[in-house]
Amino acid sequence: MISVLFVEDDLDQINLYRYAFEKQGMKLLPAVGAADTIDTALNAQPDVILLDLLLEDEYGIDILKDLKDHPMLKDIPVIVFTNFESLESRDRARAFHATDYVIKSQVTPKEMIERVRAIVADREKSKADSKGSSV
Amino acid sequence: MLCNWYSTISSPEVLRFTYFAHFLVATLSLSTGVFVYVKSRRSLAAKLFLWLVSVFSLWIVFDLIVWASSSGDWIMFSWSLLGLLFVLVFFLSFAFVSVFVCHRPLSLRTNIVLGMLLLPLLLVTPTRWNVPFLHLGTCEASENMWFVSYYHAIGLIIAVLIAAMGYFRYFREERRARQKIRYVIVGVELFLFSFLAASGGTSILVHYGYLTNFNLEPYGLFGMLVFLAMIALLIIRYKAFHIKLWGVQALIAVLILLSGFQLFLKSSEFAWILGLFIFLASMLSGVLLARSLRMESQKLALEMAHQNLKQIDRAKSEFIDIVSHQLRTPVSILQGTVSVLLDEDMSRMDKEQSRQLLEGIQRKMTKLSGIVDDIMKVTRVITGNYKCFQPVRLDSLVHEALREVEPLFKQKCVDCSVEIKEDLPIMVRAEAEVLKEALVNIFDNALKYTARGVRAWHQGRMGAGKIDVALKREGDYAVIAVHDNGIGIDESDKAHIFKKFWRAKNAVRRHADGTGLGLYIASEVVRAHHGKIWVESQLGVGATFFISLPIFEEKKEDPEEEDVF
Repeated sequence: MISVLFVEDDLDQINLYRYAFEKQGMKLLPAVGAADTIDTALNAQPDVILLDLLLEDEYGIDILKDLKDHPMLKDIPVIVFTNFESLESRDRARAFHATDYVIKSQVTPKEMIERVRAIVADREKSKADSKGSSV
Repeated sequence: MLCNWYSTISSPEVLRFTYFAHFLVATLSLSTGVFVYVKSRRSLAAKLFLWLVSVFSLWIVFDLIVWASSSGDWIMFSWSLLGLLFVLVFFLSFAFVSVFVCHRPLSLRTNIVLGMLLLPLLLVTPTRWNVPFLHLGTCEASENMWFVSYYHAIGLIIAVLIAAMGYFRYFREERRARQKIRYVIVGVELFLFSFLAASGGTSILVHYGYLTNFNLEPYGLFGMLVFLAMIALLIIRYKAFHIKLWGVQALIAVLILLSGFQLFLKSSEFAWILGLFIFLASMLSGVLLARSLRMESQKLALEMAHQNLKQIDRAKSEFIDIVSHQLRTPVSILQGTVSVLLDEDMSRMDKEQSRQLLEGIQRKMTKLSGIVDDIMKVTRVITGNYKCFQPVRLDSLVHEALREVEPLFKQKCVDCSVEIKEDLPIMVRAEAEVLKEALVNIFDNALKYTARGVRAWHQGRMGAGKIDVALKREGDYAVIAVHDNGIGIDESDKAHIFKKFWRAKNAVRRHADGTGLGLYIASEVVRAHHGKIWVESQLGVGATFFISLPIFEEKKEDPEEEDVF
């Protein structure tokens, strides 16, 4: 089962996406804040992380940096999932190796599910390819 | 020179100094008066100032004629006018101070009383009663001591009344206005008392034999220079009369004039020609210096304006990003939920699940409505569009505003205490809902900075979060103080935090629950209510926001209450 860590402080967003993902047979784990995100990610080892940028008292980019600096979490694909659009934010997300930058109001939950599935599939394909070449 | 009773006037040094003092003071006074009037024609204070210096200059001219004329008729004519002009200078000083310090002209009653005091002078002046005789042969002259005492007494009384007016007004004003009052009153009083000393003081001392001549009299004119210096200071520092003037420009003008007037003190022809050359060279250098400084200053101002515009542009972009984020959040919930409900697979849900999703839409639509309201408030603040001001109880308004934020206080574990030091209700003229919103913004801001302190407290880094609100009367103003023990504000941010789009350096860039314009809206609302808002803070300790609003009292509408007589 694909598990997704959703770093978000808006309960309505969490409820909506939890419903949609679970309906499609995926697991959605919510987290708020850097400490909660790192702890949950280490315990659950999600397949994908959806990361909001403007959180209660933290900036999502800082959490992204923490994730990419952590040796056990740096390979988990992170999709910046926010309604905040600016060139500066996109550049910074790219600089910290975010896999994608998605504006919430421009996608439906179903489209998001498809994106997550595509990323997980790509990742598994790369893993398989690298195993094959090492053999 | 006609008479020898100013025996020492025949000495060239005293004569030159007499001319120097009279011409210098008259020219500087008139130049300043004309400058102020030309730059600020509509201002009543400027008009009164021009009248004052003109009458004073006229007194100087007639005084100089008495000193230095060779015509008996001219001496008698000029001498007879001195008393009348003397009193007019004091009356005009009184009127000027009333307008400048108390922001209103003298009342009709006061003017009538002053007019009645002036009447005897008007009646006596054209007669021989004030200067009964002047013997051209012996140069013996006599003044009517009753007449002289009368007009000097009026001058003294008015000087004391001006001091009293300034004193009582001083304690009713705020700090910045108090400084201005100090400068004006000190300047006017020094001028008037030195004028009194010059005119009456020397006469009394000569009459009783303490002095043998009137050579000290011209020194009394220099009190006007102190007054002019105070006026210049008020213009340069506080843009009095709404005039913009640099200190450098004023100093250059003064130096040029002084270098010109020193020509009166030259004793030989050669020294006079050399002095003239120096004066012309000073004038040319001064003009070039002023021009060069102006150009440099304009360049600097343009550079600063450019930087300012760039900053505003950056902040505007950030504001648009923030507002679009705020608007997109509820839209994304609405869109996402609708797409789920329309999807064939995902729309199969139980009642509880559908209720949860629909409640999410409801919450977000309420928030969207709030965001639009916020944007409308900003527009209203920018256009200054307020409906009407009514007397409202400020203490009740403070309690109402606190009730609105009380749930947030509880949610964020921050204590709030309120202290209202006055027993009587404090009334202000306000648009109640708008002013309450401003107060809510201030409380909300204090809560934001203190909530971070609470988290720090949980982490063992700071004390528990607390906000104290106090309301008290200070003179004619009601002052609300909102103190928090949050993270405080950096010194460099204090001057900017009330500006549109500004975010303090230690504030997290989070705008999930607002547009980031709370303090800007609060400051504009307070200003529209003729109040002031400012902050005092120490980084890491906390901040206190102050709002000062003029108190509304029914009685204060009657100007007669504040009359001098």
